[in-house]
Amino acid sequence: MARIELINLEKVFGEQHAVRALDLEIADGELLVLLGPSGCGKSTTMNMIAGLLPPTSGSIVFGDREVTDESPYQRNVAMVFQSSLLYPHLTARQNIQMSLKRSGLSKSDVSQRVTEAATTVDVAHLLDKMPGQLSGGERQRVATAKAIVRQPACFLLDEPLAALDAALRMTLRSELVNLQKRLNTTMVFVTHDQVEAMTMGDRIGVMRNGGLEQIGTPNDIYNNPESLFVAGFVGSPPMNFFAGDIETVDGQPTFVNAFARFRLADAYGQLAPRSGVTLTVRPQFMRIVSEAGEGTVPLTVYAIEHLGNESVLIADAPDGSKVRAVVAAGFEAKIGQALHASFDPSNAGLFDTKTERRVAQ
Amino acid sequence: MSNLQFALLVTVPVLCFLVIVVAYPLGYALWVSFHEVSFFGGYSTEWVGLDNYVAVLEDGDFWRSALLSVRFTVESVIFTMLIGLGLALILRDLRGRWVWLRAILILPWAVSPYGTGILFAFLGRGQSGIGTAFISLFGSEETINLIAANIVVEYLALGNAWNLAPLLAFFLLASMMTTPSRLYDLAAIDQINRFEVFLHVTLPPLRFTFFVFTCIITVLSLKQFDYIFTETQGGPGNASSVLTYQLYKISFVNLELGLGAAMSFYLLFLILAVTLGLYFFWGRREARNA
Ligand SMILES: Nc1ncnc2c1ncn2[C@@H]1O[C@H](COP(=O)(O)OP(=O)(O)OP(=O)(O)O)[C@@H](O)[C@H]1O
Ligand SMILES: [Mg+2]
Repeated sequence: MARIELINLEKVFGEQHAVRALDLEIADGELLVLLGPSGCGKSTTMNMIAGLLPPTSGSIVFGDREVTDESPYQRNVAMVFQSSLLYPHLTARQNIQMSLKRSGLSKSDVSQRVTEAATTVDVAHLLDKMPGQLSGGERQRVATAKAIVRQPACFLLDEPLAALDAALRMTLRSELVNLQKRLNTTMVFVTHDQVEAMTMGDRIGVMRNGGLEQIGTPNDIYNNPESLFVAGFVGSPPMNFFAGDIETVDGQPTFVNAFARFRLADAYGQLAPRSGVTLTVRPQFMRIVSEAGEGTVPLTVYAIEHLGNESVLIADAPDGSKVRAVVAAGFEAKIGQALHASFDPSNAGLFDTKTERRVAQ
Repeated sequence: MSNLQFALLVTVPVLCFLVIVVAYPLGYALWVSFHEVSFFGGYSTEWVGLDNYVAVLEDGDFWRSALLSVRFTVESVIFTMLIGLGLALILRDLRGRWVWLRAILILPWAVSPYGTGILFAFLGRGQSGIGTAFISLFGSEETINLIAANIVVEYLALGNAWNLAPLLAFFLLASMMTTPSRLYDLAAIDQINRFEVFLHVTLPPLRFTFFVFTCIITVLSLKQFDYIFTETQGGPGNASSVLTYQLYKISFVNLELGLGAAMSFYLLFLILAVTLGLYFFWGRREARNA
């Protein structure tokens, strides 16, 4: 078991900066999720932690030991790859055994450890099957057994659930979290699915263009995004954005654009007028009203998505941007119908449009 | 027009053509193999039943050349597999400005067996050959004749492999490209050694290709004639007179057409038996795993 520290880690492929100036500390026993869009450098970071890819510069520390130049095996990492890669012509049992090939354990110890690991993830009855004969979920469990059998310093999982159907992903992600907590082993989990990140992580590191955009608990990331990118990437349905300026109206800082004005929350009491800001509101905080008034946005209904317990109203703002609002399940509206929406200013976030950073209160 | 009608329309001419160019000579050969053909005093044939088939089996030269054929074939297969695999591994790891070598390496395959024979006859000679050139590098004055009775079959098999290996290499290369590169990362995490990586990651996707090419090269080698004819003419003495060469001698030099025809059917049986054997003992397993 180990605390993992990445210090000023960089990886350059030719012209391309795949990972830049990455500083990251992962506590012992923590489950950290690396979240980010395709190509942002998640796998590259993971490969460097694993020891599969030498960093261009920077260092990696496991516990108190610098491991930057060590092989994956010396680091004692276990990795599960995308679509739960296994040696295709070896049985599940032989695949799990391969993890112990260099362990020097006796034959009987190996077979006992394999059985234990397989029992832990409930695949003991599948040990003599070939990977091709296993379902996606079974293959994922066998890959997990292969990872835990070595009792590694940390687990590294690179989108192991990406190729599975939604229901199975839900089952397997809770299984993985449960297992990680039981074994209390440090785990780094890579995904581009924000729901997976929110539900699994002790903390989430959001990556963008090779850098760490924000790191924090799922709560932090969801409620206090530090940048427009994080605000837009996390949350379902996605965040609403309104572009405009800050003016002082009646001595109060107020958000103003062509079709709406919102009094800012008291926390922003001292804010000076400025141009080029973006106001963010989660769809859950949008309220639909029929009359225009103080602090409302005029909307034209575009679509309604029924989720059973609630619905999502999608509407066009006058500037053509889409606005989403979570509404009660019975909500009815015709496409093209005019509506108005408002929200409590304390639930809105304020960002500088140019720097994409949160505006200090 | 239905699918069947269309299929008939395009295949019937081909089938007719095949019947004429394959079935007719085959039938004629079968007919000849039951006759004694003589050219003296005018062309005449006489029905002799199974005499020709019995005579072939009683002929020591037949057994000797059959053994040579098997030796040549087995060695050709082994050499081709080794050279083809080596080439494919080199081609796979070519990077950047060396990639064009992939195109160059197909060239030996583009040489006809006839041309290959002439080339290797030249290279094998005692005075001017590569054997002599090679040991003179180490300061030796000796001449090495590669077309000598004790090693000529091996030398022939090597030339045959030189001719065929590039094709195998390209098919192996194509199969290698389908191996997910992440499997090599998995092997690095498990820290299995190079040989185990080869065995568990590189080799498995190639096994079916190896099977197919073992069949192809076995058949090609058993019926190889022009390459051997231009390189050694079955010599020195009869050290490389494999079945096909023996057949040629009996039929077209000695003009014993009936005997030759009977012998050619034994060659056909040999080819069929070997390929069926390969399929039953190896191919079915690979097809299951594939
Ligand atoms: N071996 C390589 N050579 C050159 N460029 C590479 C290499 N590996 C990755 N890259 C580049 O580095 C960037 C980061 O790649 P990486 O695989 O880490 O992304 P990722 O976040 O894992 O994306 P995904 O979600 O699609 O897996 C990409 O733009 C990619 O093109
Ligand atoms: Mg990736």
